[in-house]
Amino acid sequence: MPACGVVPYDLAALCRLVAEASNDRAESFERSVHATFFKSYFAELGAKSILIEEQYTDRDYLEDYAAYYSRCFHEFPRSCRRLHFLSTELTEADYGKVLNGDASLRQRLESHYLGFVVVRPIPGYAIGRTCLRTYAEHGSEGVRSFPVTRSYEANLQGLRLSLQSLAFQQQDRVVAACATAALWSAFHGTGVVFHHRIPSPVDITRNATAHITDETRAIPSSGLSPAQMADAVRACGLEPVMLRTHDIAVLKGAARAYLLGRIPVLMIGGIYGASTPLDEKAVHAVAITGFCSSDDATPEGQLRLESNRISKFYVHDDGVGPFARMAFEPLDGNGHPTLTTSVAPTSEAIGSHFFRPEGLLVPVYHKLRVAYPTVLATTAAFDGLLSWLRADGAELPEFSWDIRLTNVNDYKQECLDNAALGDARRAILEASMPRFIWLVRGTEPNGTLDILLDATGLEQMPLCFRCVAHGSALPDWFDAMRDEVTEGSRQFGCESVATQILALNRP
Amino acid sequence: MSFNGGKQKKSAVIADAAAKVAARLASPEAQARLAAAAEASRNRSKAIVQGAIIDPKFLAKRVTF
Repeated sequence: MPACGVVPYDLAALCRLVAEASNDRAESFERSVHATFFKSYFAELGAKSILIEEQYTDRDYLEDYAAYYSRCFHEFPRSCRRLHFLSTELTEADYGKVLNGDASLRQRLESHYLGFVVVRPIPGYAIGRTCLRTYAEHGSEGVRSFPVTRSYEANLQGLRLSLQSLAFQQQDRVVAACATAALWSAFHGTGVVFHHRIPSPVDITRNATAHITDETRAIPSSGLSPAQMADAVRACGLEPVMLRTHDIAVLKGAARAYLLGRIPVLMIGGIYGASTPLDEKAVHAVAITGFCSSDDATPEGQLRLESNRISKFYVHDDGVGPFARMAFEPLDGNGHPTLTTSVAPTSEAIGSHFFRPEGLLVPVYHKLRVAYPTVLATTAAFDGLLSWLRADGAELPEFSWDIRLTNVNDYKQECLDNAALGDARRAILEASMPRFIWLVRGTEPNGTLDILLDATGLEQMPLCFRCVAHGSALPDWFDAMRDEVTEGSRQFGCESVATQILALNRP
Repeated sequence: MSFNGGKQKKSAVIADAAAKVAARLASPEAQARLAAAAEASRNRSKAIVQGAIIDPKFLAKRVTF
């Protein structure tokens, strides 16, 4: 068999190539939820050709192979097949010309690269490391954002094919269940941001079960508890932040804020059948990798948060595929959020299940001590202060709040590029700031107000260390009502924010 | 409020309006409203933070799907 081949893309070809490499039947894979997902995803990406790479050694599969598959009586191959997808029509002859130095064809191949799928030689659990381009930023449902993607490079016979993505893989039900697969995807993001080694699935399962043992064996894996998932995070030198998400504002806001800080967020919750919403079928974990924002306005009287506009999450769901959609449904009878999911026992049953989030698990650097709920609470308190002042006639602007995690370098770079800051810019750039910052950006028609909170601080201490404003009349109003603002902010519990805004008008 | 003048003129207009607001805020009724609104806000902040604390039973669930 040649080292590489090229075929036109269609679902039947994809299913045949996956089935061949995993010693499975094409019809079996074609009936799977993954095949249904890939059919729709590749149609959206505009896939036209598949480049087949044989005898591919995949680091993650090799480690799983060494730890488990190599010791089985059945002889599993140690190498995989890798399928590369292109949004241009390419023939075997064209590919031959690329290898003979045709620069124009090579450029076409590189610019139409959509990513790859590693096919493991495991029947029924074939989808290994998968890196695919994301959906386009603008869609019919709103604006999509995938802040946690990173660059990947696929090396193929001298070609360096690059793309922005986040790795996905299906659980194999041996060394990895859904929790391990979700953690593995999240570590692909945090490994780049916080500079830690990215463990293989078998390492994750072992790390998770090293200290909190079960009554049964860890491998073959029958799943992990959230406490074990937290232990797997600690094994990477990170700290697990666990948040309950019955409040939709915390769910949407925390997911968005950490994702914009380039940290993938794990979402854990129950899977329910549509007809029996109270009957939890199982507990599932996915990695949130993006979100879609629409123009829906925040209901009157509520805190106006940018995160309220989120209409769906994009998740790496090992039972479905990468960047799979989970759309928000109306709140349930208890006021808790519910999402759609494509997870199902068979492709015919897609859409018959729902996901109810119970908690978020965020793997963070140890210095990132202040969690999202404290920031949301501070924002709500400050917004309450403004409402109180407005009620007695102060013509203060109505802010829409965008809360996100950032760092000193990214924030200062943004300030350096922002000419609207005028004379204040230099002082901001020269100021000493903590490494991690919670940025609460209020936007009103005339300008913005940035409230900077120390994400490395102590929650019981004043967290606001600086405010940056341009265009907004708020600092002038505060300056003209110093005593009232100081007393009001003390009572509302946002004194440090008011103090920093009052400092803006000091000479 | 819209301003067409320079920063000084804008500040003067705000100072004038703010002085009237400050006078209203000094009234006992306004102070009572402040106390009530601040207490409601503190309760909301507490509810946000405490509502996000994970249920210990959740930590023992098994993620298996």
